[in-house]
Amino acid sequence: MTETSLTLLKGTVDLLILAALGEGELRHGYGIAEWIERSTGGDLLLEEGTLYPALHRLQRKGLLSSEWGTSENNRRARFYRLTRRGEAARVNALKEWDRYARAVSAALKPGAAR
Amino acid sequence: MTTRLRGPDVEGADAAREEIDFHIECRAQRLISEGWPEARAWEEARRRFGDPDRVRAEVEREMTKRRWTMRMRAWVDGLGADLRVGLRQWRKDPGTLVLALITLALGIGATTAIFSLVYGILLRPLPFPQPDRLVALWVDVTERGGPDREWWGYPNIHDVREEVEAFHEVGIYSGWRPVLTGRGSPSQLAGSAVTAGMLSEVLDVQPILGRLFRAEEDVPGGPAVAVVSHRLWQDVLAARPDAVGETLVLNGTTFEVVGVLPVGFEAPIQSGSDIFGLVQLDAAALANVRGNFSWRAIARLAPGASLDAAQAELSALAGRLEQEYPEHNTGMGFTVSGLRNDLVAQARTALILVMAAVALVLLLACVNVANLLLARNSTREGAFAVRAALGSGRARVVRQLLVETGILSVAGGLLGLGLGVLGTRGLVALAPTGTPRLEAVSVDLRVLAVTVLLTLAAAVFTGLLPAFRVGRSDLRSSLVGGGRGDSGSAGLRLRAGLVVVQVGLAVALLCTAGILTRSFERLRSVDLGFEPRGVLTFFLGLPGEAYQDGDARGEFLQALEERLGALPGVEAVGGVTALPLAGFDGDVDFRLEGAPEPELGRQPTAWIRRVTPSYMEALNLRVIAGRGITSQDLPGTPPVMSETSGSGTTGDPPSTSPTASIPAGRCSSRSGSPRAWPPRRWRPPSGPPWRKWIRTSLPRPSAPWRIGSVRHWDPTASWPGSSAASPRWRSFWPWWACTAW
Repeated sequence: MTETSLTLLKGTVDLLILAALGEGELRHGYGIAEWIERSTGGDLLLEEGTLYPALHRLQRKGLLSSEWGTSENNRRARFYRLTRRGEAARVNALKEWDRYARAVSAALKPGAAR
Repeated sequence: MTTRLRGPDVEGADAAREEIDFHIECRAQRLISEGWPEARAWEEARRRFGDPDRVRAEVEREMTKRRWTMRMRAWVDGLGADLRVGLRQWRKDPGTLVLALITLALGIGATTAIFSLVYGILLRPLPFPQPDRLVALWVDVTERGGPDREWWGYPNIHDVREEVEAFHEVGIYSGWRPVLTGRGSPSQLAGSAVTAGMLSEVLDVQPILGRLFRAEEDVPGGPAVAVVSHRLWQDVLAARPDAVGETLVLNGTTFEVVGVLPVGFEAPIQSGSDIFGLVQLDAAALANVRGNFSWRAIARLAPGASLDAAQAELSALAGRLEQEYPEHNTGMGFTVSGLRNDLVAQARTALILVMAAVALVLLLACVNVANLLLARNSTREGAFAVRAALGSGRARVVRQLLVETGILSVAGGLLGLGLGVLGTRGLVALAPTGTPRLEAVSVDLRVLAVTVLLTLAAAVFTGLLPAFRVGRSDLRSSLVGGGRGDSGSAGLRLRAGLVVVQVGLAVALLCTAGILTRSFERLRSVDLGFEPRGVLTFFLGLPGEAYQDGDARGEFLQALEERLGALPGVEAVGGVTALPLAGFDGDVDFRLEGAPEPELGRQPTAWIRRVTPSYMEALNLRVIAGRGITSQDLPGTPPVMSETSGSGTTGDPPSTSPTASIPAGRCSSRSGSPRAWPPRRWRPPSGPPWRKWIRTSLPRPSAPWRIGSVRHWDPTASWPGSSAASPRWRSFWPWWACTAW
C-alpha cells in the first residue's frame, strides 16, 4: 500500500456509502470506512471525514435513516441504514456504475476499436 | 426537552461532534491493536480523518437544510389537514356557507359584469394602430342655437380634408344600407359609404384578401367597388379565397368586391358595418349643401401634430369659410376631439356612476361576509382556547381560519366568475341599440385578473378580521365563559362597527337607487307627443329595379298597409323613413311663408321624416292646429311641422301657417338629451325607398311571429323587400322594450 493510492472520483463517496449499506446492513460512519477499506483491499485512499457530510446529505434526500445505538466497544454511535428509496437508488446506482466502468475500460484498453 | 407540534427535530452541533470523536477514537484503537504506538496511532487517526472542524461545519450545514425541508413538509401536511378540517367545518354549518357564498358570488359577479362593460366601453384602446392619433371632427353650431357636435356639409369637410395639414388623412363617411339581391332571398346590409383613405390611411387596416380603395376610384362616376367584412365574406361569399373580383348586386347596381377585411374588424364609426362603398362625390357640385349636416368625419393626426395644433388650424379654416360663404357658414365652428373619448363621452359619467355603485355593493358583500364569519367564529372561541392550551400556536389558529375563508372565497370567486360571464352577456344583450363600442365588450383575461384580485381581497378581508379576534382572545375568559357566544367588549364593538358600516352603505345605495328610479320615472313620463304604448316596429327595404319608381313603391306600401291593417288586433299601420327619437333622414333649411328673411346663420333647420298618410294615426300624434297629412296630400304639398320647429322660428301662432303643427319630440336631438335642435318636419311621401314601419296594438307576445309572417303571405314574389323585416325587428326590440311599458 502506497501513499499515492487512488483519490476518489466525485460522487463515488455516495456510491460507496450506498454499497456499504446494501442488504439491510446497519453501520455507523466508522464501520462504513472500514468496509470500504476492507472491500477495496486498501487501494482507495479515502479522507475519512468526507463520509459524514455525504451521510447527512443522503439522509436529507431521504435515502438513509439513522438512529443512535451502542457500538461493539460499548460507545454511543449513530447507525445508518438505507430507506426503501435508498435501496432502490443503490440498485440503480450500481447498474449505472457498471455501465460507466465497462465503457471507460473498453475505451482505455490498448487496441480498442476505433 | 419540549415537544413541539411541528414534528421531530434535527439534532445540532453536539451530535456532529460526538460522531466525529467516535470515529477518530475507533480508528486510533484499531491502529493500536495493529501494533502502532499510542501517540502515533492517534496522530495517524486524525490525519486520516482530515480537518474535523471543516467536516463538522459541513455536517451542520446539511442538518440546517434538513431542518428546513422537514419544516416545509410539516407545513404542507398541516395545510392539507387544515383544508380537511376547513371543509368539515363548513359541512357542519351549511347555512352560513350558502349565505356567504351567495353574498360573495353576487358581489363578485356584479362587479365582474359591470367592469367588463366599463372596460370594453371606456378603457380598452381602439383596435387600430396608434389609436390615440385618431380624432373625431365636428361642426359646432352652438352660436346658432344648435348642438356643439353636429355633422358636416360635404363641401366643408372636403375643405378640411384638403387644407388642414395637422391631419394625415380625413375620412368622411355616412351610413349606407344597400339591399343585396341575386344571392338567395334579398337582404338589407349594414354598411358605410366612405372616402378612399378611410380604411387604409385613417383606420390603417390591412385587408386579408385583395386591396382597399384607391384614391382615383373615389370620384363621381368612378367604378362601383366594395370592400366587405370578414363576416360578409363568410356568409355571402362562402369564404372563398378567390372572392376578390366577385360581384354583388346592391340596390340594383353591380359592385365588384375588391377586398376583404380581417376578422373582428369593427369600424368605430358605424359598428356592425359589413360592406364599405365609396362616397364618390364632387365637392364643387355640392356647393349649395355646404350648410347641411349629412356627413360625419374622423381623422388621423399627422406625425408630430398635436390635437391643439389641429384645433387651431380648424378654427382658422372655419373663420375663413364663414367669410367666404356667409349664407351657409355663419355661426359655424369646427372642433376636434380624441376619438375614443368622443365615442364614449355620453356614456362615461353613467358608467362610472354604476361602477362606483357596484364597488359599494361588493364592499357591502364583504362586510356582510365578515360579520357572518365573525358571528360564526365567536361560538367557536372555546374550542380555539382549548387548542391553544394544548400547545397550538396562534399562527396555527390564524392559518386555519384563513384556510377556511380561503375555501369560501375560492368557491365564491368561481361562482362569481360564472355569474359575471352570464351577467356580461346579459348586459350586452340588454344594452340599448346605439350604446358605443358594445362590440368590444367581453369578459377577457384582464377582467378575470380583476375578479381574482377581488376574490383574494375578499378572502383577506373576511379572513383576517375573525382571525385577529380569535388570536387576541385570552384563554381564561374564553374557558370561563364556557365558549358561549361572543365574549369581551372588543368583539362586540367590532361587530357593532361592522353593522354601522353595513347600514351606512345600504342607506347610500338605497338613496342612489331611489334617485335613479325617480329620474327613470320622470323620463318615462316625459310627453313625447305621441303614444309609444303598444307600438311595434320593424325595418323594411325595397330593393332592385322594380322599386326605382316612386309609384311602384307607393303601391307596394299601400298594399302592405292594407294587409297589415287587416290582421286581428291591429289598430293602425303607418310608415316613416326614420323612427322618432332614433334615426335620421336628412335635414333642410326652411322659412315659414310670410315670415321675414332670417339673419345669416340664423336660418331654421329641420330634420325631415317622410311618412305614409296613416302614420300620424298609428303613433297617435296629436294635431294641435290645422290638420294632419291625409291620403289626398301629394308630393309637393306643404309639410306638417312639429311644435318645436314652429315655435322656434317665428312668433306667429302656428295656426296661421298653411299646415298644422303637431307636437313631436321634445326629447328630440339624436343624443337623446332634451334639446329642441333640430326641429323636425313631417312630409308627405316622395323620393327614396320606405324604410321604417310602425304599427300598433298587436298582442305583444305573438308580435314577432306575425311580422315575420308578412313575407309568407304572398308567395308570388310581390313582397321582395319584406325579407329584411324579421332581423331588423329584433334589433329594434330594446327601444320598444324601454318605451312601450
